[in-house]
Amino acid sequence: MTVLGWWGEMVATERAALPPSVRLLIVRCGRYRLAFPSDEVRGLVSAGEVVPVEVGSFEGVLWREGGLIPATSLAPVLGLGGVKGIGGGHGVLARTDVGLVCLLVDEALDLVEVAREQIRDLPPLVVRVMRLEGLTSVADVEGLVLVAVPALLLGAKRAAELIAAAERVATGASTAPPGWLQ
Amino acid sequence: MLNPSDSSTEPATDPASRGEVRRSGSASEPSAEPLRIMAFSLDDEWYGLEIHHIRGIERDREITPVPQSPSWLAGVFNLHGLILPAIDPRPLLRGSAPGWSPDGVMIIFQFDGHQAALLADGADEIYELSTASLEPQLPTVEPRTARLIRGSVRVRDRLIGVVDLEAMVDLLLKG
Repeated sequence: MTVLGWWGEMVATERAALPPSVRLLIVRCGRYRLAFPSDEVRGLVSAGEVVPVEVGSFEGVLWREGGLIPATSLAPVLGLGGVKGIGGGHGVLARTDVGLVCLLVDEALDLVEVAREQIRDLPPLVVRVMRLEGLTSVADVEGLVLVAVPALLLGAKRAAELIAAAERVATGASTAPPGWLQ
Repeated sequence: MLNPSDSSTEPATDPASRGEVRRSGSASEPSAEPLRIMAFSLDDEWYGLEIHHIRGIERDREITPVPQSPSWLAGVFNLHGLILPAIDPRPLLRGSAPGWSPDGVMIIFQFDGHQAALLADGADEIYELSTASLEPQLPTVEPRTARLIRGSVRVRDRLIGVVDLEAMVDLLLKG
């Protein structure tokens, strides 16, 4: 084998590290089917686990790993009205730069593994007119499904607001009677 | 104005055509570049698209809606591995709400490197017309709509608005 320099080794490593397939969590929110790359998702919970909180502009919080995770519906982000209550559906624990955020969706449909070549870019015309970040490709999973990065869909500013709001709730909870958030 | 009695029917020669070619105008007309359009319907109105932009007609393709997009964007669909936008022209040409039906047709067109489908209720014949037969828009037509129409042609009892694809694609790119 030819000896590669440091740069060459890096390139070879990166190419080898790129898996030929991607795992996607398929969810439904209203009339939209979205696919979240599994790397962008920490987990999936029942929306019933979310405790409603009537503070700030989010639906509730979720107790996980010794902290509170804010939960918010994905529907308004997608421009959908008639937000479904916390009672049904699922929560996707999405990774953001500032922490985990629980995105409430109508239902989680499947976890699939698709070949990279099954993921294609959206037409430039569509990307240009869409008022949403984090959604630039589609995958063919029994019909086209929109591949989205949840943190980008939500936006960094909104994620930071949610995390800060959850921290305020946690601060308030520390002075509340024991068991109020159960 | 066209006289239906001047028309003669010939087999379609363009691969994109699914109908027939109807020629209009007399032999004494000047030999200007003919206007070849495919007529398509939106509800009770007829429009025409120049056939050199048309790549084919499709049916029964599942359209995936795209969130936070303009009303004219019905979604995207898979055409033999190509992901194309599906455009509902109603908000653009009629100023009305989107209303495409899965029973309709998808007219695949290409313009300036962009390929997309125009969703129509139905596609009709291909007409070969004299450019001189293009009549200006009525002044009553809404300006937003009027700039997307090159003019109108009258074929038999139909008034067909010929779509200015350049203006339409320009508008689409602006969102």
